[in-house]
Amino acid sequence: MRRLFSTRIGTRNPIMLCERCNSRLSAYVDGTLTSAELRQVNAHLASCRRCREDVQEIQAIRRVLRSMPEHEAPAAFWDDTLRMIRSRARRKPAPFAYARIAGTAVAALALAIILFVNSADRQVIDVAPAHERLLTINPLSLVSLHARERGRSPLVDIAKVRIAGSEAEAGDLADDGRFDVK
Amino acid sequence: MLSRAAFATLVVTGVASIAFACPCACALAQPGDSHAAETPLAVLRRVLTSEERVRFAARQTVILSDRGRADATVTDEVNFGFARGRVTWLLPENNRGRVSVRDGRRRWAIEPSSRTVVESEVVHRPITAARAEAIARQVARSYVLTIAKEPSSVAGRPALILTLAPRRPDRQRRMWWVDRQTGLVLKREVYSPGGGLEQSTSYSNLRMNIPVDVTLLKPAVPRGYRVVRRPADNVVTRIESARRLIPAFGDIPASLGAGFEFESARLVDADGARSLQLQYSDGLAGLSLFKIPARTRLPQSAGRTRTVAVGSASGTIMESVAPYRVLTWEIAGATFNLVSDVSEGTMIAIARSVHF
Repeated sequence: MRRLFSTRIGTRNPIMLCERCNSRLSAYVDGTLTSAELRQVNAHLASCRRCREDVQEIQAIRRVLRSMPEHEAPAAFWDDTLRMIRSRARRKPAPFAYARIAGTAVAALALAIILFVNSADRQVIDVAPAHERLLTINPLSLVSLHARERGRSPLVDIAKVRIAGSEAEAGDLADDGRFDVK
Repeated sequence: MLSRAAFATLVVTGVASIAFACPCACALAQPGDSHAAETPLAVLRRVLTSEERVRFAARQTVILSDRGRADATVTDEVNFGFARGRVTWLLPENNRGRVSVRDGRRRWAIEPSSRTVVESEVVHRPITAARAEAIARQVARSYVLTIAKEPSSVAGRPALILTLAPRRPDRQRRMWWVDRQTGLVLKREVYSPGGGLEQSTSYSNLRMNIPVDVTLLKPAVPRGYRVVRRPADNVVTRIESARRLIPAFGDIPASLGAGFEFESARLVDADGARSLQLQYSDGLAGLSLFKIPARTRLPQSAGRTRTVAVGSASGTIMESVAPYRVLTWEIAGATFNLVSDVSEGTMIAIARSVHF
């Protein structure tokens, strides 16, 4: 079995390995670690660039999730669901139907528990279904976003990106900038 | 025959002579000669690591040539390293007074033409030695790096000429004049696949190692200007994180082919629709791929467009802001957009291969 702690030669301070640290980063970002765990994770982060980058990724994901608006299910969804349940309830149960329903219910419950337990880390961006309406997208907004992202890349010709990006951003602002980062 | 003692004396004297001669030779050589034996990849690594650390003030002149027209932009720049600095536009006339300030955490773009200040949070990702190595290797996969033998100089500073010739015929060739002492790129030239000079960027009035002046990093919002605040760009730089975070957008490709590898992902709001922006790069050239879960149309102000075939779909090319093009096409009710300054043929070829 892989050791999760090693000992620095000549000292008695346990050094946390990435594997162990990584499993605690989510709690670290949430601020729910005990003080002892916090000390260990902080000590590890001080010397491990990769885990520090992991922390940044988790923080970025958290920010994205916090910025997501909550969507109400459309009224038709509930009406359709109720209609479907009623129509099925009216049907005569087939042999073993009750067992099958019970089995399905248990499976659904188990799935719900799994989803709930994993929701903290696995919350995913619920992308809205394709919009019915036609969206108006200004290409200047796209260029502006591209330039902002390119400007972060190393070795990029920043002068060119800055010139085009500023021009696109000015045009985008004039158009009221309906395209933006979340 | 030499006695054992005489032999030992000779060895000690020899070693001492070498030990003495080496530092002397180094001290007598020109400052830049310490890098004379550097490989092109080592120079590139030095450019990467010095890019964000060198403090300097200079005037920058950029000449962009596009479809027979040349535009010059002149800016005064102060760079304190680590995403801190200030850029003030002097030319062209219609951009005079535009200012961009970054203090390492935030960026302000002061735009006189629209009397607007855009304040955005900036997440700075430092260049570590490991990251520099990975980027340098990615560049080397797409470009052949060579260093010119002839000595050169820019603004009175000795420079190495690093040429980055593309391995694919559709990319631009670049020449960089790299400051021998600091690794800063003092001058750049970009050549089209056809060999024409597309862009020239150079510094003049260079002052190196300037002290940090924090007053320059605090922008004053002019009276009567509108302030637009933008949140931090929540960028995900690992493809595993992007796939886990946004699976509803399909299996995000690690590569788009033609040397373009995944660099980052983020969500954007496209007129109310949550959309995905993916950034791909070959190390130097980059492109953004937007996926919008809706059908879209262009505003009337979009300007000149052309229709092109993207596989069985119909696409639209827009020459929005030189040198960038936007290619738009639809698949199954979703709209894809590619934004890049690579050739139109490359953009269409990449668009044909996008399936997610």
